[in-house]
Amino acid sequence: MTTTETPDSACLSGTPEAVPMSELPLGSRCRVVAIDENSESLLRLMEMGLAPGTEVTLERAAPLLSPLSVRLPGCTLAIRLEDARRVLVQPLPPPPSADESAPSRP
Amino acid sequence: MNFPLRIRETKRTACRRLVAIAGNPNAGKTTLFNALTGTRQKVGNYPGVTVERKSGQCDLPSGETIDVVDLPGCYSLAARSPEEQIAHDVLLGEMDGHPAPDLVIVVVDASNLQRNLFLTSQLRDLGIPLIVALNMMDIARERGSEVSTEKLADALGCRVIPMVARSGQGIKELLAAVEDMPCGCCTCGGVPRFIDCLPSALENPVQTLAEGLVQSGLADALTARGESLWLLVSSLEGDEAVKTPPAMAALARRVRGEFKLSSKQVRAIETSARYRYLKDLMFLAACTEQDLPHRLTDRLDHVLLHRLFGPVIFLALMALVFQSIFSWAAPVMNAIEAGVGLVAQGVDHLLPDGLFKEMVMQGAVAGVGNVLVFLPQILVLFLFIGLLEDVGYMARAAFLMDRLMARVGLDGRAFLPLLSSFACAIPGIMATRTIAGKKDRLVTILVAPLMSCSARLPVYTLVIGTVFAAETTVAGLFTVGGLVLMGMYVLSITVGITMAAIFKRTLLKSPPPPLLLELPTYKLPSLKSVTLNLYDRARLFILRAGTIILAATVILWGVLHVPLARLDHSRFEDARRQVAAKASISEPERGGALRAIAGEENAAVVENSLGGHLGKLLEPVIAPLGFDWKIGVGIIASFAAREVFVSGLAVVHGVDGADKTSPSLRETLRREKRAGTGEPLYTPLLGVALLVFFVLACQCMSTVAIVRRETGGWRWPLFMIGYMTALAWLGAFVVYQGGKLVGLG
Repeated sequence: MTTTETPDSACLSGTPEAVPMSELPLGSRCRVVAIDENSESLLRLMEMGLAPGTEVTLERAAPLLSPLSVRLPGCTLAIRLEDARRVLVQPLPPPPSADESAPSRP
Repeated sequence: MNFPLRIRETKRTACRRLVAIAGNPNAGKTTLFNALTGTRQKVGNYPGVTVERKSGQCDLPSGETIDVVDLPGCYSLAARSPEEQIAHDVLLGEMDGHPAPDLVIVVVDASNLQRNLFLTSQLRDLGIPLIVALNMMDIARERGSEVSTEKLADALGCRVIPMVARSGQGIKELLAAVEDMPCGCCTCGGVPRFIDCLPSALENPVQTLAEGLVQSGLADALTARGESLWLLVSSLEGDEAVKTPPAMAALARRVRGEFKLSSKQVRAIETSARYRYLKDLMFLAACTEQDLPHRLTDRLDHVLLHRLFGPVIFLALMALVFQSIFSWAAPVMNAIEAGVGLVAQGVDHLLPDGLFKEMVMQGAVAGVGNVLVFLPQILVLFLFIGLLEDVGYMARAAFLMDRLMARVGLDGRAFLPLLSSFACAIPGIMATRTIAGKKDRLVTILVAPLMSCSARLPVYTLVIGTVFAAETTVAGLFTVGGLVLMGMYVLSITVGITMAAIFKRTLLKSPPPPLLLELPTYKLPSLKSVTLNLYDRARLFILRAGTIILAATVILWGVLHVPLARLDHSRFEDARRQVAAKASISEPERGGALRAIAGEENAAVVENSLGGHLGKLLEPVIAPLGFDWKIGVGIIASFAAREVFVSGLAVVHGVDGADKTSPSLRETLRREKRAGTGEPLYTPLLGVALLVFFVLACQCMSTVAIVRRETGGWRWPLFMIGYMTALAWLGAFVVYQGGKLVGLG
């Protein structure tokens, strides 16, 4: 019920280490595996680019810890903590060029 | 795979061609629209709904004139809000009185290509003739993204024009492309459309519905599949139901039931499948996107969204805005005042003495003057709002504020309408159209007039200047006046948020709205869009001033000066003669005494008028707040518009051409005595009670009118007047009686 994967991209689902996005530390990279399709806000965020398969970087958290800012290829979106809990992601290794352009952890 | 050239039926072949501009929010749609139409644009409404319709004209190089219409910005055509529904209906010519556009320019942000192609591919699915305006090419290149215009054009099967709309680059090429497009034709070349290679989970439902639609004559074979997918993803039930012919909705519901799919499920499948399709399309078109952070944006955000510095900078910015409204606009205001003074003098010389001259001077000139003088403040505020928006800070403010707003139960998108309401509730209420949920929107509309709009400023300035030593410096930087003003803003925000929380939990209970916020890269503001916006605001305000407020001031003058009974002027004449006859007093004293008599006479005239009687009628109600009948007259007058309170008080007290900062009106007010006790009326306590009343009361005909239009009936505007008036009375009562209890005033 929480997966939006159709059979033809089953390669993404089934990865054992998929975790909720909210559990990753700031600054980490991950690939979206699935979103909870019952959430109107997540469906909207999906249209705005947060679709399964997208590689994203968790950038920052607002002063009250929510929302988070998430960098996608092409844009940066805000996502509330409670929505981030309903996005399953697969953690990725940090970008190869860990130079100063990479966001530092606050 | 090539698809046949399709001929679209257009009913207006003889008329001007209609070109619609579609695209994501922030893709540069409005910039392009402004560049194409310049000042030849007009803003209206779509029939029956409250979504703004911006249209204009544009000349092509050949001399042909085309009509251009700016569609509401959206990420997807799946309809869950009036904006998306309208975008869909206009594009397909399903809106009454609005034929389908001959051509759609879809504005695509090249620096965020894949996401922007989402809408483009939906447009292709519906068989709409397209030209892609590939905007923000400079940013895309800067970021190191590779965008091949030719290959993209081949893949999409339509013209792709690279451009930078901000600097006007590519506009000429775009116009030439529009010129080249044969009338009423569309080529559907390029790679297969998404609708023609659906994933298995969607193929059967879409095909079943499409066949059903064609069989019952509800759609033609060419668009049936596109329409079917749109019907399946759009909400057909509940509050947000789209307006489709009932037969179509019934068919769609049946197909959904047959395949056991909800609209949300279809949307989830469609969205992720379409993004996979777009990934392939990007690959075919040799386009790549760089996942690198924008260096400057990253560094700025590091500070501006910092856990500690972020909110501090936000508050400091807001304080700066308020302080600048209060003090920076002053020189210009003084100049306008001087100008109005000259006009009043001219009228004094030109017109013969009498009732008409008094009406012109005290009603017309004073009224318009009071409004014009207040233009600089509006411009300063809108300059700030426009700059912050253009630079990209507004989204950060929403980001910082979201948790607080969400706790109240408001949409993150409610922040901007509410912030705009600090200038004027009318554009603010109009801006609530971007809020998707009907109830969320209504809550925002209901509290927007509580935000301290700039029309209250003249009242604040007058009252603060009268009862406080406003220029006294506090902590070197701020003044008493500035701090009291800040206090009024804090009060307005606190009450606004509280009322929103109450409405959201009781009267308009609904689940918390989603946060849909993009944090754009910071960029230098565009001078053109900021000035165009300022010009618009100024024009709107002056038009409003010239009509409603002028009319209100003149009517008020009539109400206050047309006597209900004959007034005996002889006792004032006697008093004057006595003063003139007194030899023992000095010249200034004599002048003072004569002024006092004139004031009393004027008070007697007003007291004897319709307005005076109304004020007196109101006195028992407002006496617990410490207000006398003259303030009551001002309050009655200010139901037309808040700023009329100032000219209202000036008329009641017989001060010619006075405005909120003029010493004469302030002096007159300070001299006012409370009837009975003879103590000064305008104490700081009364001032604060009056300020609180004005923060909370709904005194603006234009706001009521706009709420009626936006909510489609009298129910909500009347409710708004009721609850705000009750709040205002209660607030002023607590301040005045509480203050008296603890021994103030």
